[in-house]
Amino acid sequence: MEQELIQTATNILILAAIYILMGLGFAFILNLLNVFNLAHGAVFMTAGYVCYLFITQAGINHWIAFPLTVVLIGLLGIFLERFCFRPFLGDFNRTTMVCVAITVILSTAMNLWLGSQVIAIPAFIPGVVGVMPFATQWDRLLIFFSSAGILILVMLFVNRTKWGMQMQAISQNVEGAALQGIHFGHIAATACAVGCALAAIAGVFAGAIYNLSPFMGDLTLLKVLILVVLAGVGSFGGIFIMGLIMGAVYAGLPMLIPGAASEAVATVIVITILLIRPRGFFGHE
Amino acid sequence: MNDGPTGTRSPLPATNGSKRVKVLLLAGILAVLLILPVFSGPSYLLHVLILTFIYIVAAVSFRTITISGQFSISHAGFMGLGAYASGMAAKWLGWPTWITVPLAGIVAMFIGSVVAYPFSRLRAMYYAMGSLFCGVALIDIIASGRSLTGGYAGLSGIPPLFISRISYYYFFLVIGLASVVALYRFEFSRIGVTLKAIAQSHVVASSVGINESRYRVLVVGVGCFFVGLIGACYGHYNRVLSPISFSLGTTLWIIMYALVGGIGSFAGPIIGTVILVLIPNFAGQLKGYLPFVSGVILLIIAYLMPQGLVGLPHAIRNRRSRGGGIGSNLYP
Repeated sequence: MEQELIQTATNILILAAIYILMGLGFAFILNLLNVFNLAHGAVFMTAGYVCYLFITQAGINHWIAFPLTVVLIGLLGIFLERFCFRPFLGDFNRTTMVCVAITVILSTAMNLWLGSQVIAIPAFIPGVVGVMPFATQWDRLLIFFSSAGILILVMLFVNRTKWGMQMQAISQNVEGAALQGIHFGHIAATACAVGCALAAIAGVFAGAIYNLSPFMGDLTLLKVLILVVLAGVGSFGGIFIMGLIMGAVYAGLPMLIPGAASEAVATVIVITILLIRPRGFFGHE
Repeated sequence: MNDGPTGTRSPLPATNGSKRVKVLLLAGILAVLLILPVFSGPSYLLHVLILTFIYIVAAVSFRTITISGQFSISHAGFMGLGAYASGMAAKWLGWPTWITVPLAGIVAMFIGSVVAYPFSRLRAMYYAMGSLFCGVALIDIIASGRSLTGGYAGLSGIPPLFISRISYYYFFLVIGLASVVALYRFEFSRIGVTLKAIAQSHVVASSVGINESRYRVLVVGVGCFFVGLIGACYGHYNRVLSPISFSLGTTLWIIMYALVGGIGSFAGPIIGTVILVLIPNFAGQLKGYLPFVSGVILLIIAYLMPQGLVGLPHAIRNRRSRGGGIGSNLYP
């Protein structure tokens, strides 16, 4: 019984951490560029595979491969901003097309290359910590604490650094920020790089705890869309609270309602909330 | 956050001469489609054409919803609803298929309207996201139906409509043609014009006495009816249904068909479906690489043809007269 409770609690926290990391990255891009980045799930999936390939194929140490992946995917974010988002700024239809194309190309490539194998990123620290009724894997503990650390760093970045302040200024008023000498292109590129890097961190964590699959991004993207819309577009604080709630719902509900019904119940709850509060819980406009 | 998805753009100018050419072209294509089975027999080509007809109806009915300014991302959900409604009624209740298929359309229309009513207060991005979750919820509910719907394993043993593939081919040709003609008449009727007015400005439309939410519910009902109907036909053709085949990915592909062809014109979704369903299916040996082809087509269209394929002749004409390139309006 205790074992099960501990297991559920860690599941909730890990899932919430992954959702919050993804959701924050998504919200960065959404707030600055007004782009619903449907390729975010593909970026998340690619990061998991890239880290796996670094560790198993290239034989790089875990602790080097992880930051290397994050930096690489951050660069991918700059590329995405320059060539996929900037030419179509304000055009929802064409941005959607490009995002779907990127998703299709990345997931097909991974599917053809490694899709037939059941693989996961090898454990960072193998083994179990704690005495039996209160035990959990080292990896889960590590992921929980490093996510918390990264999230604190991100909030410091947004609220304390020059770039973060400029980001907030642009998401409040683009023209006003430009008049103050803020370069939109540089800040948008930074936001995309940070957003994709956060997705990469989430992807590596998800790949270490669950299995890698070329289509793992699709389901996570759906959850992230729910998270961002429910939290309210333009709100960073809301993402933390909603992320915890969603982690609890999606990790806890299957304990109460078995099988596919739990997904259906969760989605219906989301629609009801959206109808009552169209701007989300913490949205401002 | 006020830049919602753009539904319709102004239609391209058409002259009288080009209209006659278009009528002749349509008649020619129809004649070829009618006599095709005589030469091809019940081949793979017919199967691909049947799929094309199905997705043409789905894409055209999706575009009909967008002319009211509602970017609905739930279309495959309603297609699945129709397919499961008809399949389950025919399999479990033993009703004749010629009743269950129209009934499935009506069920999809009813549920679509009931859902659309509260959704009609959401706008732009929020409507798009709400309808996205709605499509996902529909499929989640279908998947949680256990033995009734077969869950994720799928519903099998659905009674067929016909024995031979050639009969199916003509059936889908007739249903597809009838649906497309009906949707065309709908779009250029008084109601269609009213919907376009709502898309341009819901405030102005309301000020001249248009009941905005009623029209928005109506168009969702019409779109869902046709997609539910064609979904039911698909279920009786395929005879096995799985919730996976109506997931968010399918909805996004239906939207892609419309966008590739050009969402601003009626012919757009038809052309887009032909490009993205018909052509990649003839890659033969390279079947695994098909999604790459589709992805590259999407990228080419997005970068070079902002109006979709339908806008291509217009862009070429512009280039001749004004010297601007095909992508000249890429950076406004």
